[in-house]
Amino acid sequence: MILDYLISDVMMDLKGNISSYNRRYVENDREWFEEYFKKNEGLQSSKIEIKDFDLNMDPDYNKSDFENIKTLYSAMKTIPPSVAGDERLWAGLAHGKFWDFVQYRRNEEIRSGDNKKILYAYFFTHNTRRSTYLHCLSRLWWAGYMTYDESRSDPFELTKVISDHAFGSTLLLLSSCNFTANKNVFQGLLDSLKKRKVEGQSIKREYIVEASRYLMSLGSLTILDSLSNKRVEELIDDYLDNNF
Amino acid sequence: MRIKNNLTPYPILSNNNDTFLESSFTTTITGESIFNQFVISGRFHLNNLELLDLIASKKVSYVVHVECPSASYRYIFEDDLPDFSIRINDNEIREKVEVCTFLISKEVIDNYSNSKFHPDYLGYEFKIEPGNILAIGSAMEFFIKKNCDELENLPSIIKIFRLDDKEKNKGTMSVNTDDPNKIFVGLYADQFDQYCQLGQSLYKETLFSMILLPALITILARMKNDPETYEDRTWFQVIDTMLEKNKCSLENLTYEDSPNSILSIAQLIFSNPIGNGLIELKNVDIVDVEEV
Repeated sequence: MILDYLISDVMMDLKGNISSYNRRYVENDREWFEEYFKKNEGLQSSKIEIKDFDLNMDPDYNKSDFENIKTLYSAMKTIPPSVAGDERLWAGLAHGKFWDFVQYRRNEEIRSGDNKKILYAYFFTHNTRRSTYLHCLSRLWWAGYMTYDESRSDPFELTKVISDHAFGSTLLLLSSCNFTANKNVFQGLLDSLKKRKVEGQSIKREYIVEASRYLMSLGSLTILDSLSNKRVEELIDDYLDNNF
Repeated sequence: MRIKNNLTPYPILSNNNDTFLESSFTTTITGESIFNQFVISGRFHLNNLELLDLIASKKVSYVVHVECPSASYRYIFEDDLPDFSIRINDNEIREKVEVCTFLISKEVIDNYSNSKFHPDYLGYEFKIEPGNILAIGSAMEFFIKKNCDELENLPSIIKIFRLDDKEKNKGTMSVNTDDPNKIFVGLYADQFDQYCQLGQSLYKETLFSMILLPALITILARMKNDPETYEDRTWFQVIDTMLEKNKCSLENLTYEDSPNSILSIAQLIFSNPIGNGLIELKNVDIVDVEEV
């Protein structure tokens, strides 16, 4: 399938005049949006073509999140990070191919009728890095990108660590520090946290907070990006062993 | 990456403190977009003999730290030579790139000391761990401007068309540069049909390198050999402007192996179709191969 994206003018109209369009989102009025996009050519075909796929909409997010990261990232891993950071792509998919998914995954926010929450469901509402980890579609790609590791027997081993419980808040917490943009650091941190994770529960918030705080203090003297994944894991292991 | 002026347990050479005397560490840094890459170049200027000795003995290295928060790009480039030139594919970065420079230790240094320490530290020795910062150099930010929109499906100046079998005298494929607007690449019927079939599937990049790359090499060679014949055509101006924007020119193109070889430049214009084609083939799973 060819991926559609939302053109900037139309995106600005939808975001800027959200009060006028609020009802259409709350009432799940997909047909109205299709008509609107037809009229102003708001959804355009990009030059990106990928294998078609569908997302899981199990009522239990703990079941669907992991499956959806695997499905979406496997299908879209050829798109480069610069494109995966483009709001127009994810807003386009949210208003097109994955309209039903957004209505499912952001059901509570959309039904609330709160403009801010609706914007948050469909668009980027913070700086680009934070937004990519918040938007319910783009975060599936970025979670896959940061955790997928072909050198492991199960390339999605680390994906499971963050997504089988409370995926959204775990990902957001992990991505809150700039140094986790480095894959070695991010994956080393996850390798350490993995050992303390109880199946079916999210990683304890205090482990993530304390490990991040420790890495931040190390980072004032050490270029963390120069350390191997294994070294980061050892450092956090030692720290958490000594403190918990 | 934000550099804070923290108090540190050992002296770090930096312009923002006085923990070293008669020493300096600065970096000249430039950044420019060349074709589909962002190139960060520069030179470290270190004025401290003992730190220079540690670099020569490979215990310490020069580091360029590159970060693009919007694309979660964060890497270091490490070397023991003072000159650097780093090429980053522009599809890995967007909006803003932050560059910071350092000297860092590569191994444990048990008795780190320096005769140029501020007198407060003279005589002290410190244990340095791998990755520890020993000096902080200059930093720069660059705002990335892309040559083209990565999502927009812009009409190409090259069009592929079906070549009539009666035109077999034109060789295995044709590159028609006669049209004032577009270049027409001709494929014979059976090949054209296969191209259409495969081009709709997952083999776009592979077909790019098989068909469009040799076509562009032919076009660049014609432009170089006979600019007067083609220079008034739209497609010529588009390619010529693209070369100029990227600090290249038709005169500089070479047939021999070099960064300015026609093949290298064609690869750059199309963002490495050979490499992308190979990655694409690697990613095609067995089921896809059987389906085709």
